[in-house]
Amino acid sequence: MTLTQAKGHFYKQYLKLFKAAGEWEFILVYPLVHLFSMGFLSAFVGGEDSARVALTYMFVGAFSWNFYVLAQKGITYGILHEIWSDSVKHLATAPAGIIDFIIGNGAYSLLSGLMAWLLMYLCAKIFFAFDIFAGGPVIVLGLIGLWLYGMAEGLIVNAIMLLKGPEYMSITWIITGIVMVTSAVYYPLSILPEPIRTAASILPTTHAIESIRQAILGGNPIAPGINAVVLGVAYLLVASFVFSKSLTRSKQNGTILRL
Amino acid sequence: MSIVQVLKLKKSFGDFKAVNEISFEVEKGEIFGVLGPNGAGKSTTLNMLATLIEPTGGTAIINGFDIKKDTKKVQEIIGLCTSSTKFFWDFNAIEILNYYAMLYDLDSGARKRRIASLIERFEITEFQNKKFAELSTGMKQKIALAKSLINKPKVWFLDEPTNGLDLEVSKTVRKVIRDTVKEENTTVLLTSHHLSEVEELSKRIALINKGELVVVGSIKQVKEGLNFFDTIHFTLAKQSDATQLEFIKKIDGFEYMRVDETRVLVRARSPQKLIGKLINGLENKNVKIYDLEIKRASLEDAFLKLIKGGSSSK
Ligand SMILES: Nc1ncnc2c1ncn2[C@@H]1O[C@H](COP(=O)(O)OP(=O)(O)O)[C@@H](O)[C@H]1O
Ligand SMILES: [Mg+2]
Repeated sequence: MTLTQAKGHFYKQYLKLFKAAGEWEFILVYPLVHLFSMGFLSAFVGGEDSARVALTYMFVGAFSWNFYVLAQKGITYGILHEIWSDSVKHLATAPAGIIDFIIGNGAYSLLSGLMAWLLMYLCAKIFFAFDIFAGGPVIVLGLIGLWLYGMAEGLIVNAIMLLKGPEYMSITWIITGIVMVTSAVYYPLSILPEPIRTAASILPTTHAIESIRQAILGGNPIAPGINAVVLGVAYLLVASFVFSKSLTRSKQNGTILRL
Repeated sequence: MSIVQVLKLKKSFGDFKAVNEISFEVEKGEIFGVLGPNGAGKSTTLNMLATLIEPTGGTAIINGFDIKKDTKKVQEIIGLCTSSTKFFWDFNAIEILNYYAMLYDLDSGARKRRIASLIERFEITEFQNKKFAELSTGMKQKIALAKSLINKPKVWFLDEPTNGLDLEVSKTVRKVIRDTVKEENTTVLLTSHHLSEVEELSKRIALINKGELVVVGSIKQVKEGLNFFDTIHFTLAKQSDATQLEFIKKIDGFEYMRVDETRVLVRARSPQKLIGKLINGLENKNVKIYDLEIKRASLEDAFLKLIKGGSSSK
């Protein structure tokens, strides 16, 4: 593992950003679509005060959601671009390891997530007088939790694609769908029925979003923030292991040749 | 010194044995040819040596490193290039080479130098800023070859590198292979079904068929091993002279003769030695001939014979 090798992965993603128009969808289009639809929705529901709280819930949800999706996408597209261009074998025979892959693509995940955040921050501020940074620097904990978990999920999707083929990319949408409902992205955890609430408690996203929300609403963001980071690290470690095993398996049974 | 030792290498896909316990050695600095019909297991062998897939059994030692245990060390000192190699279609040559140079841990100075030298060697300059998707097959293959040399590999695996290229580009590719071996002291393992290409580049070859190693050795040894020799051809001025040719069978090194009206074919272990006696004999017997020529047994013929043998033994 070296910095240059990690940089190689980042370099590829960075170039793709300026070459593949589709890249901007995730950074420009979806975040703003979320932001504006949530903004108008919360203006529509409730009176003045409760509308403000609803807006916070929905905006924290939209900000967090897009950050996590971009973290996940950075890792998944690290492989997917290669599969689409039929160049996986170059990657699979290069001496850059899995850690280089995670660091390089993870750095790009972070960059793209922050770019989306900047854009959303400006629009939320200008059009809805909402400041995501009102809670102070403590929201970094939640962001790290989202980032780590997003990368972990990306690695799991990669592991599946290495063994089953790129069609399985669509698994992503199933997982993100489940995560969206379960981790109480747009509403308080207490609204969820009991069994789902238990499932929610083991997802880093639940804690991360709760932490960012608490920071803005003046509650306690530290405890959920730390939970999010610790869980995020655990998920990432497990996912890295799974990804590495799946790469070995793919080289053993030859599926790597057919990607 | 053997830089590559292939030791009972084996690969199964499910129940199917694609490569079955093959062993051979490659000397440092040589261009070693791996030949065999389609589906013989050539690519599978190279892919295992290049760490793209894992062997089911056996292993190989490359420059002292075991492909199974020291995979990363092996990856650092090898390059793999196949035919119709693809890269990101929206990247240009410089970007492609830069990307891989980083994955091979070349620092920024080393990247610049290596890429500049490869671009010169492969004459990439004029299209270096064009998207990969917009390039001709020949240009694409030049980039593929350059990429596979980005880390100055000690062992260079080439899987049918001129497949699908026109004659001129193929010639350039062969020249670059020879030059690289000379300049960088690289060892090459080359598969090809252009047999003449292997004959031109390699001294030693391995023939594989249906996953089994048939024979390994110098091209001369392989031809002899397959009982395939150079032939002498000539035409008789008078067909009636055909009866006068029996003496040829008694000449040293004679293998086989066929007379087809006035056309005569003689197969011999060493026709260059036999031909003097043959001409003398014909003169003594007053047999007039014309169109005398020696046809060298091509590997192509040996190869076709092998495949025919292979399929008839089913
Ligand atoms: N990934 C794979 N899965 C299953 N069978 C394979 C795979 N790769 C190659 N094979 C089979 O292994 C045999 C050898 O293939 P290959 O090494 O590509 O032959 P060659 O390069 O000599 O033409 C073929 O019968 C091929 O169908
Ligand atoms: Mg092949």
